[in-house]
Amino acid sequence: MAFHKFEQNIKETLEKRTIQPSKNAWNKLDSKLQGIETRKNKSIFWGIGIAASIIGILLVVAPLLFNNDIESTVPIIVDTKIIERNDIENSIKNNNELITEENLTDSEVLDTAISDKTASKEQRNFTVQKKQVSNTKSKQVNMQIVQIEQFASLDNIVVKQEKVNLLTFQESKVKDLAFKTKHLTTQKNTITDADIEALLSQAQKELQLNQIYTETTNMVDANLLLQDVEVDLDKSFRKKVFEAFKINYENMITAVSERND
Amino acid sequence: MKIIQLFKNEEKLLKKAMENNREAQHSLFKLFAPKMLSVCRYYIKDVHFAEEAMLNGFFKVFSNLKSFQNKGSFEGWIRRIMIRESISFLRNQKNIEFPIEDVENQIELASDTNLDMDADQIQYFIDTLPNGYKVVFVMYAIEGYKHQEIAELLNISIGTSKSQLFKARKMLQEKINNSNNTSYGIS
Repeated sequence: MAFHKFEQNIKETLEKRTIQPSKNAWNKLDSKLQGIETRKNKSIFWGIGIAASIIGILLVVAPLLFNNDIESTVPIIVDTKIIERNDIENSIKNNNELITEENLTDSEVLDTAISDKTASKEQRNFTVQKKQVSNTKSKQVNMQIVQIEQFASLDNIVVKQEKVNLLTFQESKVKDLAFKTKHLTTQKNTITDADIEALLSQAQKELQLNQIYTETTNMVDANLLLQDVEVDLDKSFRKKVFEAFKINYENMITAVSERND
Repeated sequence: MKIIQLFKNEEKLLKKAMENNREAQHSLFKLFAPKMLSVCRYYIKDVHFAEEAMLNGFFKVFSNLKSFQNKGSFEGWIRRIMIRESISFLRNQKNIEFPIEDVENQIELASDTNLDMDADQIQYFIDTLPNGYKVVFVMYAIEGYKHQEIAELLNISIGTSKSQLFKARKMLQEKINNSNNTSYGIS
């Protein structure tokens, strides 16, 4: 207990004591603290610098690393003229007019050829058939135009050159057909429905073939080919038989009527 | 009222000092440095070295202010840092030893020690103690540490801490008594 009191006295005396530090004590401490702050700032600066350099390297290296992928995904730009919908409609309208005119000229040629050589009865039948043929022909051509229009509306991009080629080919075919009929009438002085039908079917095939295979690109249009095959497949056997029978029956009627005359 | 105001001022200063406000740090330094230099002086005989230890302590205080979470008093927190700094200074100087001796057969301390001395005189006698004795004595008698805490801080056993304290007390008493006798003789 004695030393407890002794220690208590020492503690009380020493606790009261204060020693003033030297005058430059704070300056020393201040310089130390500033040093650590500058080190912190430097470390932050270095950190930012390293991060920026890493980002820079990544930006430079990333295109090189992913270059192959980008190249593979870049679309091939084709220098073609894009026709607007109005242009397409106008061209289709013009084409329709052209085709109807051609049809009219064809029918006129046919009319003159047939009226000269065949009887009134036969002429009546023929005009009916001719109307049917011209109707079917115009329908087919219209169908093709509608197909083109659909294709244009789907993709909204039509190559004008191809369109022009297609139309000119149709025009040339129509003219060719008219020339052939004229030629046949001058050669034989008569023309049968079978001849006309054969000529029409041949022209139709050529038109379809031209649509499917374009010489300029040497490419076969897969969609049109498929469509063509599907159209053929859609025709049932029964329908085909009926069609064949109808054609033969018509041929027979004309043959009988010709013999009677 | 003055105490409350001081406490509020200290809180404000602490907040600003945490934001690296140098003026606030300077104010805190001015407020606590004299006391803390005295604390460092308990352990370190040379006042310049004591100041060096104190400055190191303050540097750690301001660098780690955010780790002070207002648990306990700020002064107590600084004081603990100063004590550790002083001990590490002595360790760096390789100036601290704890001689292991048998404590069982030591003589009892005298009870009639007259302590009529000022702080400088007491500090003088404390300075005459070997560093091992001195550190344990100051930590136990003045700072109020327990033997387990002292043992942990100084990396010694509790027994060593006890023996160091016993010997420090004995030596200090003897020195003070001798001084008293001499002074009486003189006067």
